[in-house]
Amino acid sequence: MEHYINNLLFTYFPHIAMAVFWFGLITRLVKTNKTVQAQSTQFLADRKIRIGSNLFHVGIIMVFFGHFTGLFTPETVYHMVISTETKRIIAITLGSVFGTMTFVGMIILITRRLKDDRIRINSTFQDYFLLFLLLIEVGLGLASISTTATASVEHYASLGVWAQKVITFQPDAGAVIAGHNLIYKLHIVVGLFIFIIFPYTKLMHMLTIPIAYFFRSGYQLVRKGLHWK
Amino acid sequence: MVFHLDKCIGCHTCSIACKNIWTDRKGAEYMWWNNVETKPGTGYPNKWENQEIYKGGWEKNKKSVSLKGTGKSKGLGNIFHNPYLPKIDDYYEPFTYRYANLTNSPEGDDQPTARPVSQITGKNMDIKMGPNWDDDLSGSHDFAQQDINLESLSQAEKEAMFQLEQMAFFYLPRICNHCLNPACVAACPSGAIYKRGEDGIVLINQEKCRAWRMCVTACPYKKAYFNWNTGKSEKCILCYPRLEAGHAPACMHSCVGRIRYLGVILYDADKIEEVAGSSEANLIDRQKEMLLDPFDEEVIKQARKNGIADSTIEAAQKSPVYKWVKEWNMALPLHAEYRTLPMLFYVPPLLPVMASLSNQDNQQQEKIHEKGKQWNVEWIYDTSTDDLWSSIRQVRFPVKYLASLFGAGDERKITQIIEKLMAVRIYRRWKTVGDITETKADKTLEKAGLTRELADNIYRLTTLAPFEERFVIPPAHREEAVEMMKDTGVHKGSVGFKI
Ligand code: SF4
Ligand code: SF4
Repeated sequence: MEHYINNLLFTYFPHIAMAVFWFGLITRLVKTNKTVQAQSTQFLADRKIRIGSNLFHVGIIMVFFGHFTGLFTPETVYHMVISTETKRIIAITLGSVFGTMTFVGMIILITRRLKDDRIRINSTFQDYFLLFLLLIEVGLGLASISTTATASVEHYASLGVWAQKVITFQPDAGAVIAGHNLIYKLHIVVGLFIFIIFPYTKLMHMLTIPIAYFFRSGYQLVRKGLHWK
Repeated sequence: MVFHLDKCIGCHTCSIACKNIWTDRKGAEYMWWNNVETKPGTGYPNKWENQEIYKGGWEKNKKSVSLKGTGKSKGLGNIFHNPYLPKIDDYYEPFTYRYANLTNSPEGDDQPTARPVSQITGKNMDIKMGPNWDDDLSGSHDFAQQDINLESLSQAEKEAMFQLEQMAFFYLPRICNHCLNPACVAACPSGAIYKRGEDGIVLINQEKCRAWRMCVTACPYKKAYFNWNTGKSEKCILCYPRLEAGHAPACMHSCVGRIRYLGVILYDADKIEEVAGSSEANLIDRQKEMLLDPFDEEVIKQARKNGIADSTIEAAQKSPVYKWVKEWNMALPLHAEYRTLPMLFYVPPLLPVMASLSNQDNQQQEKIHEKGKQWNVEWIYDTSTDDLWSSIRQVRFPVKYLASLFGAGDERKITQIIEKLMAVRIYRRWKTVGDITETKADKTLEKAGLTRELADNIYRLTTLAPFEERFVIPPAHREEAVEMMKDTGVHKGSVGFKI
């Protein structure tokens, strides 16, 4: 039974999550593109948001890229530059710094949302749900740092092996982390859950980063012609 | 667009017309795409003209101009929080009243009241601010005296201005200027804001807006607004659905003082970047140079080549805007120094200038006739005094003040127009009242650089012009506008009884 659950959650569930993620992402972008954005509450209440929002956003973006490179760089590749031991030290340091930034930022943002009448009254269920979900996920991530630091290096390295097995469709992916601490497992399951709901929430606003803007002319080009004023 | 400020009576009809049609929705209650403010005053949103706070508009750089507070690198640094964004409290917290209390409350000893409630939280609130809170100089300590345009005045001048007997003010109705070099467009990271090729209206595509709010910061006139409910920015759309149907925008149509004019202007779009970057002293003149003479054969030829319809060229020739701005040189843009090349021009008001005359020169007081002595106020507008010309030039306020608003600081720009306005008055007084001699009337016209014919035309457009002379709206030619964006062949057979 345990084997069955482990296999379901860590071999198959990632694929289910990714399928839902990509399906949702594409349909949302095509069908209701107009809604792809996050609200901004700065206009209603400006206190604390500069520090809170910047801490949270910078923190979580760095954490995201950290996970991405950390999990998906194959051992053979990073061994050309660093040892697994060094990689772990980097991961723990950056993870603690940016994870804490994110966590603190979120606490500021959550208290602000709850305390300010204008924002609280105009908040939706989704706003709270996402905030607490992300808070739990970041909390789990931070809590797992001590395990990462104290367990063996192989233990740490196998997390990357698991991730790489998942994306290369290896049926034994789940087995790699079967013996890992519960805290990792919770972190992974909640993380995958976030991927599933991602396309259906305001988290989609990540995709609106204005890349084209930086290649656009700095002025506005007006078609030659006539204008009534 | 031209607004003739001497005619504005500050009735706010224009604002209400706009509000009823466009911004009477959740999240938009606080927006007044058209607002009327009392000047001197800090306006709406509070202190919008102070770009040290809001960082709106463009600033000159070596090559041409760059955005002051937004744009590529500056905007990116503030992407998670924009420190220059005005807050709802800088406008005002929108409110309504519990009207139902008046009819529903149980019988009792007290009169039922309709308490104000916030339209953001739905809770009871005390009203502390409104869109025209400083109307007619109310609360001048907090508002009028904080006006940034007063900075050019000396302390004594400022004090004189706010003595009760001498106070002068006027109204400044404002809408989006539909600028030639719009800062809002350049600042939008999503590319949601664009200027329509066919008529120059600046619009925000609601499908593409992603709540960056950079336009709100970038527009130095604070005429792009953030809808806190939908998370999209909105702005004046110059009632384009009405324009396309040949109607004047609602604010213009409803204007009680008939101060508003709308017409076609042909301009040279290639010069925009260069003109926007010219020196402050030249900005207004260079902008005017860009506006082309619709009677010039060359211009007509080029316009036709660019696919402009004859009906539109004809409308440009009849344009009241062209007359005020170019032919008569009597209208100026508001705060040209923001470098957005605004296309709303104002005829500066004569009355506050005249109103402050009597206090300038005591010698004048001696000369006035008996009646004037008793009723000083009548003397103020008495055009029969001989020294009028020199005194207009002597008036420090409000010419200096007006120059800060409409002349990019250049007082001569204002006095030239004031003299013209005055000359037309004197000329008309000779014609209708007759207490001024014909020679004097002609002399003043000549001094102001006008002829009788011109004065007649100015008089006519100021006072008598009917609808179709104030608003010269050409056929919309939607077919061409659509072709600019789409290949119409694609849509053949795609509508109708298709199931
Ligand atoms: S006045 Fe209108 S067109 Fe000009 S910058 Fe502001 S919003 Fe844009
Ligand atoms: S309706 Fe006309 S006269 Fe009345 S406030 Fe508006 S611009 Fe002025």
